[in-house]
Amino acid sequence: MKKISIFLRTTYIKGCSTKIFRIMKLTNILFFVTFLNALGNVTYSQYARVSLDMKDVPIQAVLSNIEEQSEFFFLYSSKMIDVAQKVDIHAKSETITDVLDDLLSNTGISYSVKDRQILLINKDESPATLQQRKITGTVKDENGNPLPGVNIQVEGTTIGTMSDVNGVYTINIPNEDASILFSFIGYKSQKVVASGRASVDISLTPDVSVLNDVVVVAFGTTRKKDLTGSITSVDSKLIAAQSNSTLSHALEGAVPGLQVSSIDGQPGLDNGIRIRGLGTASQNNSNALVVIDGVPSSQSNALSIINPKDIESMTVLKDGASTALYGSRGANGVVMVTTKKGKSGKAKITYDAKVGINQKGPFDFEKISDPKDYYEYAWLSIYNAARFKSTDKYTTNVQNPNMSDTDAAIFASQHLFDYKGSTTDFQQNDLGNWMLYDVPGAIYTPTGSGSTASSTMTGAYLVNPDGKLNPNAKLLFHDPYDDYFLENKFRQEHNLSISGASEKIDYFLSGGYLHDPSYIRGSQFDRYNFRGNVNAQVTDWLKAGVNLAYAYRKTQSPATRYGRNPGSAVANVFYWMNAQNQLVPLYARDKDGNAILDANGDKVVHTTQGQSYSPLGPTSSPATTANLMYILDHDKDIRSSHDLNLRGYLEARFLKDFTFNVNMSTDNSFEMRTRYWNPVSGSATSYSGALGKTYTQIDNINTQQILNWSHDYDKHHFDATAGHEFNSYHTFNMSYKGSHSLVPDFDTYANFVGLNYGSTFSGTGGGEHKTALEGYFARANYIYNNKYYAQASIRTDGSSKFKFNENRWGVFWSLGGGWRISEEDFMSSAKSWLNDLKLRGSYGVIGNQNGIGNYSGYQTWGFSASAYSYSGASYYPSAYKLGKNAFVNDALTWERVNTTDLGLDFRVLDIVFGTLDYYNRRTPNAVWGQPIAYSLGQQALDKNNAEMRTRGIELELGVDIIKTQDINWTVSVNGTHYRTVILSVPEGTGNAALNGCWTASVDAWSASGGGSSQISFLRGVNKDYYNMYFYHYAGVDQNTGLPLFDATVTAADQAAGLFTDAKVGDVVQTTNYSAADKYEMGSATPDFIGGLNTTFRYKDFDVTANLAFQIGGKFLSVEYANGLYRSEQIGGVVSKELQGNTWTPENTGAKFPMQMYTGDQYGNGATIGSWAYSDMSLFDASYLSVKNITFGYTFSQPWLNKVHLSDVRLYASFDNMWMFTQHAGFDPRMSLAGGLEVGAYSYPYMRTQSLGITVTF
Amino acid sequence: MTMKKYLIILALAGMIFSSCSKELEITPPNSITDEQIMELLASGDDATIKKILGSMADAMPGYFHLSGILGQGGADNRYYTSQGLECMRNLEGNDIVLGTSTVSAFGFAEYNFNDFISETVDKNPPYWYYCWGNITAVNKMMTYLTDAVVGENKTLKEYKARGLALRAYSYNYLMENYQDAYVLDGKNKLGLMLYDTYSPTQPYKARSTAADTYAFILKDAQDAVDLFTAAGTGFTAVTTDIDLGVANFILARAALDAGEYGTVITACDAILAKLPNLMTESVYVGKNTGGTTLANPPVFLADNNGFLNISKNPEVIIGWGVTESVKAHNGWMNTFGSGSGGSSGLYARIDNRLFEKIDANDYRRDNFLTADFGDFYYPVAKVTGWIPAYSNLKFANTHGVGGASSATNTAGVVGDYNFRTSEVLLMKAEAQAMSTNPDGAKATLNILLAARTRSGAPTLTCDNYVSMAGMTALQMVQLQTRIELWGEGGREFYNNKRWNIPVDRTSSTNHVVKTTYAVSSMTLQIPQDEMNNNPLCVQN
Repeated sequence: MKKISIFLRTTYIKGCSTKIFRIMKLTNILFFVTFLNALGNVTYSQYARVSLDMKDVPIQAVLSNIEEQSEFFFLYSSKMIDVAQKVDIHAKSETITDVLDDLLSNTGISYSVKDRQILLINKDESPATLQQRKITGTVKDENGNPLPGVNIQVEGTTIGTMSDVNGVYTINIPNEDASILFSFIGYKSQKVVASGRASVDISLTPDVSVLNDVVVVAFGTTRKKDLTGSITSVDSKLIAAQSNSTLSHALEGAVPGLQVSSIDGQPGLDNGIRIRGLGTASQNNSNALVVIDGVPSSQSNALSIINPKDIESMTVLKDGASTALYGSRGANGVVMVTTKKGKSGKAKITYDAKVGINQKGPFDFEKISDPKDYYEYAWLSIYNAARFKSTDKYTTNVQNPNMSDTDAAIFASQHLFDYKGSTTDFQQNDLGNWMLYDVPGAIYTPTGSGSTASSTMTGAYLVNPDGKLNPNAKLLFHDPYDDYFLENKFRQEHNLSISGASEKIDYFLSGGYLHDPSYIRGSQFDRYNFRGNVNAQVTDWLKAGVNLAYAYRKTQSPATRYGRNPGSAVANVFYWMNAQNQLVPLYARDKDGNAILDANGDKVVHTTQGQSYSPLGPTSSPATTANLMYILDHDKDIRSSHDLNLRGYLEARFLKDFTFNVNMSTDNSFEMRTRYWNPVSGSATSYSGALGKTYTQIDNINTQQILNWSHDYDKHHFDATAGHEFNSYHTFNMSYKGSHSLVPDFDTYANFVGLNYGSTFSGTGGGEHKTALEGYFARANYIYNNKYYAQASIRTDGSSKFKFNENRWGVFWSLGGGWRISEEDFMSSAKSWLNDLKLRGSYGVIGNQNGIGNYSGYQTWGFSASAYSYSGASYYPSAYKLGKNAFVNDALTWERVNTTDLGLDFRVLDIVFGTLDYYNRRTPNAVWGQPIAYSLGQQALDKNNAEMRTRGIELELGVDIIKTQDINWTVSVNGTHYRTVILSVPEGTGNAALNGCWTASVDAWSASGGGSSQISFLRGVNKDYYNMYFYHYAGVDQNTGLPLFDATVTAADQAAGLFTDAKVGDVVQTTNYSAADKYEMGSATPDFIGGLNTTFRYKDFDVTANLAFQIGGKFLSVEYANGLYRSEQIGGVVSKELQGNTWTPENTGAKFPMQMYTGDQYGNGATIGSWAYSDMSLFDASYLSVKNITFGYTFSQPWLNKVHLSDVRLYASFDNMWMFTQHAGFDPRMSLAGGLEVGAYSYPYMRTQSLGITVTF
Repeated sequence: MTMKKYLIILALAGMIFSSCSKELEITPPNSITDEQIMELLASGDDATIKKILGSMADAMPGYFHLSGILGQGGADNRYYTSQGLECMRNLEGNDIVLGTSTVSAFGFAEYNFNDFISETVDKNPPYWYYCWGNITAVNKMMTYLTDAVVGENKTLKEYKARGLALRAYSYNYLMENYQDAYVLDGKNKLGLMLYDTYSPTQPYKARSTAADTYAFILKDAQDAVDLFTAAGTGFTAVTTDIDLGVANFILARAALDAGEYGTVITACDAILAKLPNLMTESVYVGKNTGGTTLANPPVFLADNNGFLNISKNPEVIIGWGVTESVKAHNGWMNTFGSGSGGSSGLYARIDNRLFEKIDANDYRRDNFLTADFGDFYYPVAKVTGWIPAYSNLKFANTHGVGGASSATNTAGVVGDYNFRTSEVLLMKAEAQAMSTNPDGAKATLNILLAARTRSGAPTLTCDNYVSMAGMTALQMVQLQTRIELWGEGGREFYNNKRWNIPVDRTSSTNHVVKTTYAVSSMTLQIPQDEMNNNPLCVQN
C-alpha cells in the first residue's frame, strides 16, 4: 500500500476559529483515511456480513432483507427469474456468497457478484447449458462504458437474459434471423437482427427525453419528472461548442427568462445575468446567484474564470420552490454549475484543440468616410448655410434666400475649406485644411491667420458648383484609422482532460489554455485553467472527495482603460475611428501625398497641427494630439488574476435511508492591476511616464452540513433535507502610484521616483471588507405513485450586514406541488401519444440582501488629511479632517420577493416536448430612496417601502423532427415575455409637473459595466419600469427645412407668447426646440426574448446552430443621437443615411432636416442639448444573432480501433457570425435598459472562426 | 465498525445544530464607527476630544461662505455658493442696475422679478438648502457636545459656541427669506420647524410660531456669546474664525429682525468697543492707476482695495484671504473682470437716484463711474466691452490680490468677508432710531459719516449731509445703509422687507427694467421639497 500524506491549508478565522479549525482538522483526518482506504482495494463482498432467519418466505423477501441490511442490490428480470418461490434461510454473520449458495441451491437460479451488484440469472441459461445457437456480446453506454443489467430478449419469445456487471451477455436464439431487443431504463431500446452472427456488440444511446434525467437543484439532485419548481437545464454540449471566454455569453438565448448583457466586447470581462426581470429597484441588486459545485460563488465574475470544457451541467433555478433553499440570496434566481467527474469504465484521455481568428464582429454603421462623399457632403452643408442661414433662432431664410442658387453654389465651391459661418470673414473650418486631392488649376488664396489660416479656392474647385467632385481631381492619399487598429487576431484553445473511475475512486483532471485577444490592437486575454475532481468510496458507508480549481487570467483592454464604457477615452480606438474628421490620416503626408518618414525611415504619425502638408493652410490635429499607435503599443493596463477554489466533502450513509454531507470550500482570488503610461505620448508626458498598481484579494470560506433522508413506502416516496451553511467573506485592496521614469517602458517600481504622483490610480491607500452569513434550511418532498407531488422548503438566514441581532435573521420559505396528469387512469387512453403531462405550481417568499450595505446600522466617520507637509521622502498631515459620514438607516431589512409560478410540462408522441410557465414576482418591500424633507438633514432615506412586480411567461419547445439510425434532427426554441412595473412608491416620490411621475436614469450595473446619470425613463406607479422618455422628432418643417418637435402647450408657453393659437394641453409641432417636450416612447424591454437551437446529424456528420433573438424593445443610440445624426458636422462623422436624404427645397420628402454647417447646432433633429435626444435615434431593439454554428465529423469506430483511439472528432466553429437588427450601428445585446449607458464609440463584440479537433484516447 | 461509524456521523451531525452566529458580529473593518468615537470622547482625554470635535468645529466658519449648495451645479453661478444667493438678492431691489439692456442671461430673471418665491420655482430652494445644510452640520456636532461632555471644558464651550452661532445665523437667514418681517406682519405668523438634534429618522416637526423661532434664534446667539465669553474666546485677531465678534454680530442682526433693540445695541457696543476702526478713503475707493484706452488699459489693483484685500480692511469681523476665499461675489460685481459682472456685460451699476443722494463730500461717490468708461478689452475672455456710466468701482480689479500690475489674468483673485464694522454701526443706529433715540442714532451715524468724508472736505454729519435734510433719523439710517452696503450681502432686499420699502424703479433713469415690486411679494413660499414630505408643514 502506498503511503500518501495529504495536507490541507487551514485558514484562521477570527472568532469562529476553534470550530472551523476543528472541522478542518477532522476533515483532514477523514480525507487521509479516505485515501488510504480507497487504495486498499478490499472488496465489499469479502468483508460484508449478513444475518438472516426466515422461514417459508418468497425469495424476493429475502433479497429485500439483504438489501436493507447491506449495500448489496440485486439485478434480475422478474419475467425470467422466479422470485416468488418460497424458501427457508438461516445465516448468522455470513458472507454473501455463503448466503446465496444456500438460498439459491434448489431454485434453478444462479448468481454472480461484483462489489455491491448481484446479478441473478436462470441456471438454464448459464454458459454450461448453452446450445449451439447462442450469441454473445457486450452492451456499452454512449461513452463506451459497460452497461450491466440491460434486458435482452428475443423478440416474440420469452427467451431473455440480462447483461452482467461487465456488460457481457449470452443468449440462445431460436433461429439465425431472430431479432434481439436490448432495453434499459434511461436508454433508447434497440433491436438487432442476429443474421447468423455469433457475436453482437451494441452501444445504447441515452434517451434524452426521458424524464428520469437527474437535475441539479439546491443542495441536491432530483429527477426531472419530480420537479415542482421552474428549472431549466443547459446542454453542456451547447456550452462547450462555443468559443467564449466566459460561460455567461453561452447563456444568451439558452434559458427562457434569462438575459445577459455587457456594454463592451472585451474578452475576459463578464456579463451581467438577469433572471425573470428585476426584483428590486436596482440593477446591481438584481444579479442572479452563481453556485459552482454546490458552493455559492464569492466572485463577481465567476463565470469568466471557469473553463467551459469542465462543465458537466448548468441548471437555472427560477421560482420560489427552486431557490428557497438559498434564502436571502436566491430571490433573483440561481445559476448552478456542476463540473465533471470521472465515469466508470476505461480511463479517458481527451485532448481538444481549437485554433482560429478573432475579428471585428457583425457590427457596423454606415458612415460617410469616402473622401469624395465627405467633401460633397461638406459642400452641400456650406451651400445651405450660405443661402438659407438666418440670424434668428428657430428659422431659416428658405423663403427669402440670402443669395441665388448660382451664387451659393460658387460660394460653396470657393469656400469649401474656409467658410466658418461668415460670408465675409473666412478662416479654417472643420475640414481642417485636409486636401486629399491634387486639383489641377486650383488657386489657393490665403484667408484667416495663424492656427486658423486657410484658403479660398479659385481657378478650379475640389467640389464643383454642381456639388460633385471635380473629375480632374486626383486622390493623393486616404489613410483612415480604421485600417490600422482593428486586426484579425489568432485565437487558440487547448484542453486536456484525464478521467476515469474504478470501483473505489473516480477522477477528472483537466488543464486548459485559452489565448483569446480581442481584435483591437493591444488587447490581450489569456487564461490557464487547472481542475482536479476526485471522489473516493472510503468505506461502504463513507465517501469523500475534493474539487480543486485554479485559474490564471491576464487581461489587457485599451478601450476600456477607464471603465467598461469606453466613450471618449484617449485609448479607445473607436473614439478615434468614429468621432474624428474622416480625412485625417494616421501617417503625416508630404506635398505629394506620400508618408513622411523619420530619420530611421519609419512613417511619422500625424499628431499635431500642421504636421502634414496642405496647400490650404495648417492641417488640423487628430481627435487628440497624441500618437494612438504608440500609446497602444507601449501603454499597459493589465489585470493579472489568480483564482483558487478548493472544495472538500465527506458523505456518510447510515441507517439505509440517511446520508450526511459535510462540505467545506475556499475561494481565493488574487489580482494585481498594473497601469503603465509611457513618457512619450498620451496621458503622462507631462510627468515622464507613470506606473500604478492596485492589488485586490478575496478570501471566502463556505461550510455546509447537510442531512438527507429518503424512503419509499409502497407508492409513497418521502425525502427530506436539513442543513446548515456558514459563509465568511473577506476582501482587501491596496494601491500605489508613481511617476517620473528614467528608462522608457521599464514598468517597475525602481524606475519611478515620483511618489504618489500621476493619474494612474487613486494613490497610496487601501480598503477592507468582511461579511458573514449563516443559514439553517430544510426541505421535504412527498410523491405519491409518481403522480402527486408536494414540496416545502424553509430557510432562515442571519447576516452580518445587520448590526442588531433582532433584525439580523430572516425566514424564507416556499411551497410547491405537482400533478402528473398523464399518470391518471382516465388518461390511459392517451398513453399512445401523450408521454407526459404535468401541472405544477409553487409559491415562495425569497429574500434579497443585495441592497443592504455591508455594515448597515453602523454610523461611520471619515478621517483624512486636509493638507500634507513633506519631509525627506515622507509626507505627514499638516491638517486633518474628521467628519461623520452619511447617515445610516438601521431599520433596513431584507427585501422579500414573493414568487408565484404555474407550469406545465408535456411530451407528445415522444418527439415533441416542452414547458410553459407563468410567474408573478412581487416585492412588497423593495428598497427605495424615500424622499424626505431636507430639513431633516438629507433628501432621501433608503427604506423598504416600494412595491415592484414582474410578471411573465416562459416557453420551451423541442421537436425531434427526425429520429432514425442515420439521421437525427432536433430543433428547440425557447422564449419569454415579461414586464416589470412599479406598484407603489412612498409619498413624495412623484413630481406634480409630471402628473405624479418622475424621471430616472439607467442605474449602475457593475456586472455588465453599465450605468448612466442621464435621464432615460419616465417612471410612475403602474408604469413599465423601462418606460423610455425622449423628445419626439416630428419630421421636417417644409417652410424652413428645420426639424419639428412635439410640444405640449402650457399656460406658461402662452404667457411667453408661444402657441397662442392652440389650446393649453394641445400637442403642437414647432421648430422652437427650446419649447419641445419629452414624451413616453414605450418600453425598452422587448416583447419577446428567446433562443433557437438545432442539431442535425447524418451518420458521422453533424451540424449545430445556436441562435438568440428578441422582438421589440427600444434602444437609444447615443452614437447616432450625438454623432452620426448630427448633420451640421462637416469635420466629424455622419451617417451615410444622410446622403441625399436631407431636406432641400428640391428634396422635400427627405427624412432628415436640412444639413447646414454653422447653422443652428441643434437643427439636426437628433439632439437639442446636452443629453437631450429625440427619438430619431431610438431604434427598435429586435435582433437575431447567429451565436454559433458548428460543423463536425466524428470518425467511425473501425478506423479508430486501428489507431487505438476511442474517439476523434473534427469540427469547425463559427461564433457571433451574423447579427440582424432593425438598424445598423448598434448592438441591442449591450443593454437591458434602453441603451443610454452604452454611450458613443462603443466596443462591439467580436466574431470568432475556429477549427478544432477532439481526440479521446 | 458500526460503533465507529455512528460516532463519526454523530460528530458530523452535531455541526448542523451548532452555530457560528457570533461570527455575524462584524464591525466595519476599515471605518471609524460612532461607537469608537463615543469611547474616545468618554475617555476624557482633552487632546483626543479636541482632535475629534475640533475637526467638526473647525469646519463651522466655512459654512458662512459655502460652495456646493445642494442640487446646484458649479456652472450655475447664481445658486451654487452662498455668495451667489446674496448676489441674486442684490438684483431684487432698487439700488442695483443690471447691465444696459434686456438680455437672456443668468441673473436677469431675478433682476426682472420673474417668479422667485413660489413653492416650485427653481430660484427658491437653494436658500432653503443652504440654511438647512448648515443647521444639519451644527446639529451633527451638537450630538456629541452634550452638557455632560462639555462640562467646564473651555475648548468644548468654544466649539459649541461656534455651532450655536452658525445655527442662529442660518435660522435667521431662513426667517429673512421665508417669512414676512417680524417687526411688520411676521410677528403673528409661522416660524420654522425647530430641530436641535440630528437624525433623518426623527419625526417631522410642524412650524413653530415666528415668536418661538426668534426666541430659539436669539437664545442660540446669546448662548454662543455667553459660551465664547466663558471659554475666554474674545475678539480674536484672526478673521477666519467664529469668535465673540461674530456671535455678537449674529445676535445683533437677529435681534434687529426681531425688534429686540436693546439687545442690538448691547451686542453692537460690544463689537464696537473692540473693533472701532473703519476703512479710510485710501482703501475704500477703487482707483485706476493705469490708462483709460485700449492701448493704455486701466489698472485696478485689488491689493489697495479693502473690499477685496481684507488685510487692508480693519472692519472685517469674519472673512478670508485669497487662498481660502470664495470668489463668486466678485464675478458678479467686478466691472473689469471676466465674469458675469464684467465681460458678460451684466455690469453691476448703481441706480442714478441713489447715486445722486451721495453727498459731494462723500468719497463713496467715487466708487461709481459718472460717465461711460468706454471700451475695455477683457484679456481672459478675449472680448472688448463698453463699460457704461454708473458701473461700480467698489469691487473693481484688473489685477487680483498679490497680482503684479503687469499680470493680466488675475482679476477676481480676491478675498471675501461676511460682516464688517460699518454694518454694526448702522444696526446700532437703526436700533436707536427704532427705540425713540434719534439723537443717539444720528450720533452713531456721524461716526460713519466722518469716516466717509472726502479728504479735505468738511466732516460730514447728519446735519450737513445734503440729501438727508428733512429726514427722520430712521430715514437717515436707511439711506446710509443703502449707500454703505451697496452690493454687499443682498442686504438691501432684506432691509427693504424690514423697512417695508417696495421696489419702485419707475423714476430711475438708468434702470433697464423700470418696474415695481411689493414687499408682500418678498416672502418666499416653503419649497416643494418640504411641502411634499413634511405632512406637518403649513405653507405661508
